[in-house]
Formats: sequence, C-alpha cells, structure tokens
Amino acid sequence: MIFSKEEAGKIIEKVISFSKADSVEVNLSGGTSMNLRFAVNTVSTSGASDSLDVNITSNIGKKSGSVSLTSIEDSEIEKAVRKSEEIAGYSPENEEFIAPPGKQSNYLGVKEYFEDTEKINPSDISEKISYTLKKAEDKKLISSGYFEKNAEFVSNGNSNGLFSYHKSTSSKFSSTMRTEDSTGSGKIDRMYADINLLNIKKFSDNVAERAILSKGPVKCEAGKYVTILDNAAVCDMLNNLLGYLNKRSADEGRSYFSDKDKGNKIGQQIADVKVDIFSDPQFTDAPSTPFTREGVPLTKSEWISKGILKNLFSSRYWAEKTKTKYIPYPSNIIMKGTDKSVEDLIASTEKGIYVSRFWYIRQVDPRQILLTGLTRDGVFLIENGKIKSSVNNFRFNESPLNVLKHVIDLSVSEKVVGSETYDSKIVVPALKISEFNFSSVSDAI
Amino acid sequence: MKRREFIKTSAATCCGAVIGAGFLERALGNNSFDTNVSEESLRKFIALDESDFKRLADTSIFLANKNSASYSDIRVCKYRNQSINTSEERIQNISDSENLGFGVRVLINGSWGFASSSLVNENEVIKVTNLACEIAKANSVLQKFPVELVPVNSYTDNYKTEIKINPFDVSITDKINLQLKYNKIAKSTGADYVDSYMWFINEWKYFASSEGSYIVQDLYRIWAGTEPTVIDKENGNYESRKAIIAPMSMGYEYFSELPFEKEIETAVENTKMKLKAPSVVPGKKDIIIHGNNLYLTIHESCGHPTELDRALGYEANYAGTSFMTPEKLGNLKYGSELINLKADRTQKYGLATRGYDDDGVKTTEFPIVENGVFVNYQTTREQAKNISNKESFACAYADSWSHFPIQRMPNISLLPGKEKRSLEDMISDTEDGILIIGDGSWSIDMQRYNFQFTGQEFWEIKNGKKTTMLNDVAYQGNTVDFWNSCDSICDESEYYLGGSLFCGKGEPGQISPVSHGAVPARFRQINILNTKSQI
Repeated sequence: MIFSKEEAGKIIEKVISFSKADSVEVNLSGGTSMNLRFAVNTVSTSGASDSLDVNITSNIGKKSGSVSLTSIEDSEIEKAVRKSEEIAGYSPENEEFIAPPGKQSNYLGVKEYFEDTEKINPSDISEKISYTLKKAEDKKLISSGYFEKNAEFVSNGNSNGLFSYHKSTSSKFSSTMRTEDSTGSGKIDRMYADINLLNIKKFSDNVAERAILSKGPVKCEAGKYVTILDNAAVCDMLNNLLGYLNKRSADEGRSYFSDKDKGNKIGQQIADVKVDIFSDPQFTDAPSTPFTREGVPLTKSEWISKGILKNLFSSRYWAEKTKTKYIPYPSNIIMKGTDKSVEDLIASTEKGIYVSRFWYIRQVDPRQILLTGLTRDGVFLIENGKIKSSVNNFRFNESPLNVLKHVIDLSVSEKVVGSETYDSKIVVPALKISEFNFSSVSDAI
Repeated sequence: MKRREFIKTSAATCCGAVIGAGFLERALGNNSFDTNVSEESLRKFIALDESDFKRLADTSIFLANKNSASYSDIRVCKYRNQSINTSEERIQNISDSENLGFGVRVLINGSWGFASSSLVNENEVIKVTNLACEIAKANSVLQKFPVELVPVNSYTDNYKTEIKINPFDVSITDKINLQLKYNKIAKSTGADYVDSYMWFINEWKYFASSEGSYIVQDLYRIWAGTEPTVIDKENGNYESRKAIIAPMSMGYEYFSELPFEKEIETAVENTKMKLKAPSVVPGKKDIIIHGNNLYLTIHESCGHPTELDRALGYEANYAGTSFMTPEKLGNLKYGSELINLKADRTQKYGLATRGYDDDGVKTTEFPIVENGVFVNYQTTREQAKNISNKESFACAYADSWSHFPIQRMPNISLLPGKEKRSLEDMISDTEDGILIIGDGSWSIDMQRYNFQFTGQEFWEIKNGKKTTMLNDVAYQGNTVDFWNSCDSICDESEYYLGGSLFCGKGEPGQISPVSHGAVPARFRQINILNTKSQI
C-alpha cells in the first residue's frame, strides 16, 4: 500500500513515540505491483501484490538492534520497538557506531511518480501485450516476456529529527523472441517511471528484427576482437564495476582500487579520457530516490571523470574516520555518451564483433576485477562497416575496467536494463573497444 | 543462478505478525482514512489460528468457485528470518524479521490469475480473490491453449522439518558469542580480516486448494559461514578462502554436529598457503572434483537443464531454455555409465525437502539420469501432461506468499559409486591432475552447455600424490562432454551434501533453497584456464 508524505510522517512519529532507546530509526516502505508473463506465444503466470514494510532500529549507547514487520497496528509496533531494544541490549558495543543523522533540509526534488503508471489495470496490460504476441506470430517467432508495473513509496525518520519521503512508479517490459528453428534469438528490456515512455510496439518490432537478424549463426573462433558492446551489455559491465568502488576495502588493501603507497587510487587515470561516469538522482532519464537508506540526501557524485577516478563510496563511519567527504552508494548510474548511433559505430569498424547482451556474469578474481559471463541474444561479425553475419555465442573472461581503458568510441546514452541489473537505474552508451577477450565458444542460442 | 540482490537486500526482508484491518485508523489515531473495515472484523482477525486460516481459505475457494474457477488455492505464509553479520570483533548487522501474507491462485477458462497481500483478514481475502479472478479473465484473451492440471489426491496433513533444537529458542546473545568465537579463531590463526554470517530461516505455510487439501508445513533452514582474508602488505596482495560448510534443513544442532572450528582454522591456514601458491599452467588436465565443488556443477549442468518449464520455453525471457529438449528424453547419453543423478524432495537435511509442494502434491524421489542416460524432467501439475506423465513430481514452489508457484529444483544428487573407493584411492590412481576443493565462482550459458567454475583451493596431483597447492584455476567444459569424461567416482564414505539458499529463477525473481549431494569424481582431459593470464 502507498502512504502519502503526511500519512508516512504520522506512522513514523508513532513508532518514535514508543521508543525508550537513546535513538530510534524507522524505514517505512510499501507498494502495489502487477505483472504479466508470457511464453511460447501465450500468457503464462501473472499476478499482483500489495505490501508494506516497517523497519525499526533502536540504538542504546553503541549498541543497535533491528526488527521489521508488516503491521502498523499500535500493539504490533510497540512489540517490535521493544524487541529491537531487546536485541540492542544483547549486542556487544559496536565501536563503529555513529548516531543517526539529524534533520536534513536539502533533499533534491525528483519526479519519479506518474499517475498513468499506477492506474494501469489488468485489461490494459493484456491489451498492450497482445501486440507483442501478434508480432511474434506474424514473423513466425516464439515470444516470451514480462510486463510489470509498480507504485511505491519509501520514507525515513528518526528520533534525531530526520524525515524523508519519496514516491515513485515504474513500468517494465522485456521480451525475448526466438526463431522457430531455435537458431536465432533477440531480446529487449526497458524500464521507465512513466509508462508513456514504454513504447511496447516499437520495442516488440525491434526484438523481432534482432531475432531474425541473428538466425543461423556461423562459426567464429574465440579470441580478442575489436568489439562493439550494445548499451545493454555495457549496462551489466558498469553495474558490476559499481560494486567495487568501495573506499573502505580500497583503503584496507583488499581491493583493485587499493594503492600500496597512497592507500587508494583516487586521482589516478584508470580509464580512457573519453570515460565520464556519475550519479545524479535528478537526471531526467533516470530519476531516482534522492536519499540513502538512512535518509541522508543523495546529490550528484562523480565516479570517473575524463578517465580519472574521482571518488569511491563509503559509509558515514568510514568517511568520518578517514576524514573524507561522505560519498554514499548512489541510486542511479550514468555514463556520458555522444550523439552517434550504434550504426555509426558499426559503420566505422573494419572488422569486429557486435554483442547485444551478456548473461550470467560472475566475479572470477576480485584482485583484477576479472569477470566471466556469456554473450546472449545476438552476436554479429562486422566486416567493412557492415554486419556480415550472425555468429555463435562466446564465453568471456574480461574486466569492466579493461573495457573502459580500451574505449575507441561511444554512442548516444540510453536508459536500458541489463541481464542482471534488475531495478538499477542505469543510463549508458554502446561502446566500441579495441579489444575484448572471448575465451571460448558457447553452443547456446 | 544465485540472486545477489537477495543477499544485498536481505537485511531488509521483513515483517510483521498478524495484522488487523482498521489498522490505519488505529495507527493514526482516528484520522480520516476510509478502510471499509469495521473494528469488529479487526478484533476477529487480530489473532488467527489454524481454524481461522481454514475459514479464510474456504472463503477464498468458495468465491473463486463462484467466479467459475476450475481450480483455486490459497497459501497463507509466515516467514521468520534471523541473520547476524559480524566482521572481526564487530557486529555489522543483527536482523530479526517476520513476514506474513497470503496469495490466491485461480484457474478460469484455462488461464491463471494470482493476487496477494500482506494483510491477512477476511475483507482482504475477498478483495484479493476477486483481483486474481479479474486478472485470469483479462488474460484469457491472450491464452492460446488452456492450462490443464494432472490429478492430485487431497490431503489434510501437518509436516515439520526434523530438528533437534529450534534455532529460534536459542538466544541472540548465544548466537553472537558463537560467531565472535569463530572470528577470534580465524584472527588468532592469522587472518587480517574475517567476515561471518548466520542465517536462521523458518518457513511456515498453510495451503488449501479446491481439490480438498488442507496442509500445514513448518520448515527450518540454517546456514553459517566464515571467510578470512589475509593481506600480504609487502607485495600489495591479498587472498581469502572461505570455510566450506553448506546450508542445511537442520536445527541449531548444526553447530555441534558439523566441524566449524576445525574448518575455520583450515580456511585460514590454506589462505596463507594460497598467497604463496604458484599459478597454474593452463591446458587439458585430468581433474578430481570434490563433492563440495561438484554439487554446484550438478546444480548448474543437471539441475537447471532438466527443468521442464525451461525445456519447453517458459523461462526463455530470463533464466533461458535448455539443450535437453523433450525428444532427448530416454535417449540422450548425458554422462558415462557411472553417472546416476537422483532427485529427492524427501532427503534428510535437504534444503528442498518438505512434505508437499506448492501444488499440494506429496513429495517424492525419482531418477533424472540413470547409468548415464537422461530419463526424467522435474515437473509440476501444470507441466506433467506435456511429457505425457499422469502425475506431477511435486516440484512447484513459491518463495513468498506474494509470488506465483513455479517449477523449482528438487534436491538432485550424484549417487556414490558401488565399488569401494576413497578420495585417497582416487588420487593415488591419478598420474597428472588437479584436485579442486570448494565452490568459487560459477557461470553457465542460457541453454546449459558451456560452463566455467573456479574453486576455493586447488592441488597439483603428480604420480598418485597430492603435491603443491596451485592458484588461479578455473575449469571450463561442455555439459555432455564433461559428464561423459567421468571415469571414476568415490564411494558413499566421501558423500558431501552441498546446497544453496539462493537459487534464482522466474519473473518477478524468486529464490529457492536446494541441496545437492556428491562424491569426488574424476574427469579426464578438462580445459583448465589460468585466471591471472586472461587480461
């Protein structure tokens, strides 16, 4: 269920009123969600859910305890507050305890809620998806996919006077289409706060086209190639990289970003000069929550600027201990692009591989940020500025930083969803890179 | 695949005891919220017991039937999760959460509808059942062929995981002290950093269906892990090797019955060795894979491709499809004759073990691969007819009341060899190879052909002897070639039950707990990569 700012404020005040601890922190969130799944050109499982979460943390001295519940019934809340105090009582002192942040006044204004998204009903959804199913049938393709809409709110409050509130919607559409002979596959995955941006017709047309283009791949040897990674593939690479930008592990000497002499690599050239990566909750194409899980305001943060590492994220404790500015984990990630299209990148390529998406990406060695994974849903050989043929899928062993070091060119940036980026809000260009390590061939389509 | 998100956000998993309607007015002190629910109904549902659940279930089933549902079910679930995370001598996080809600599934005109809510009361059951029916009717426009369920018996039963000590009866203080003791052992053995976690999970659910079943299940799962890191400041290097102990369906006796302390010492000693271990020379090698690594290879290369929904294309948009398509059933030579893989949802300690699945079908065991030949898929009531089976193998599961039950993996295990053979015997019988211990990273393609796995620890085997530790090893393979290259497996004395709490599948994403038993096995001429020389 969704509460307004005023309703959320009152519930949080109520929780705080029950507290006997030195301080209490409340995180209240809830929402409604509806989805439709389809596969083998027919609807499969679908559903709806309505949920509410109340998370309460009590702090006594340097001890803390957390409890969560789905009820805002007085007696249940009081029970939960007592239980969190009891857990705090059990805990040993946490030397790294920091008192909850006080009242904040500088939250960025972010419009991420759209009524049209919240209002869509089961018949509207079914109507939208009927186009996708028909498109697949007309083109003799086997379609599967997923539609989801969410309306959510999140609110924080604590006994030190902090209060934050954010309401948002999201609409998602993804579809995979496979050729009847199972030799071709295409996929698209998009998510927007405003459902009016979710152009299901256009996306369905695109995925059908990609599936047909990828039909009948020819054999291509593994190896290092000039490679164009489409936005969705870059999206997964960047999302994986983000997790490594942790200041504490760098400072402690257990990260790629550790530096034997300087502690960490902030200020060093770690990528090509064409690489600019930042976060900004107000970024129009990817509006996102303007505060952290503790309710501290999120503002624009630069991560990599002209290839130089500008910042690493940390906790409030670590920032205070190392006497550095507190840069929290962000709520979106944006990589600057150009005004070029992917077609432009292909046209300027004499010989190379064009990758649509990645799949099953896992860390192999954190010391090098070496990742493995596979290509999926369309890999193509480029010769003399044109797509020559569809080729087999590959397994890769590669580092996202290596990708950023070898950037030759970038396309326009777009909001896309990677294969494993889920609800992360990411805006990225397609990249042309001078080498990418395809380690072996995969027979999968 | 495993869902990292769950681990990331799990501290935020939730939530509360039974909630009453009219809650809003009470919470806000008679403010102007119209909830359409009387105080009387609030009192009625504030403390529900089994007979209340039956009444709610009967209401939902009656209403679905009125809406022309040919089938309907309701699951009322209550999850309790406790987790403790520490680093060195510090608490990182203690979380104790309850999460209650219900989901209603209806089948109308051969189309599914599903809706759910975290409010458990009669009004909400009516609202949610009506919404499920509305969704089913809206979707039937898109339905190309009707969903048909194979028959099931009706059951009225109670099932509980066999546990000796209920983990929720043990105080949090005791749990914290135990974990800090493990961290101390790691530090005093030479770890610079150590991260530990404990998970205690109770999944309680009440299932009722229009087939006449009323089933209560009370399931327990437990997991603890410790991962030490050793820093080599001189060379600006670091290494870690986690303690290898799997999650299980077990009570708190987990800690006294499994060798935690010894394993943590081994983990630190071997981390130190790893810092000095030479990098592997890549190429084709014979490898002996310990059960504590092979369990994950079984999960990825046998568990997932034999899911019938994948094979038929129902998971094509996310998890992928399968190279094990239905025409291969009964004739694909999946592995060498030594390979027998059995599915079993009744196996002791198995994470997927329970009395009934979320279709209300009694759990069972069945072969997946027999003497190397692929003989069965995992099925649900909806899928069984697709391969002309008359009964389901009871593999339906939903990880939450808010999710639709889909086909999920039973415990699937490699049966031990019948001939007596220990790991020592196997090593002495190997001329030039590598022994692989513990699971590291894992990745496999969307049809389950090409995989790459690392491990925690690697040893060179030369002329029948375990010689030096190696580093930077990954093995790559192709499922059928790999399992056919197996020429030796150990006997039951080397059996290891591994598993994961976080196998991901479906949209919206769901996680599921599953175990895999395995014995060490030898695979000939497997492609070994050096992970340091990739970039």
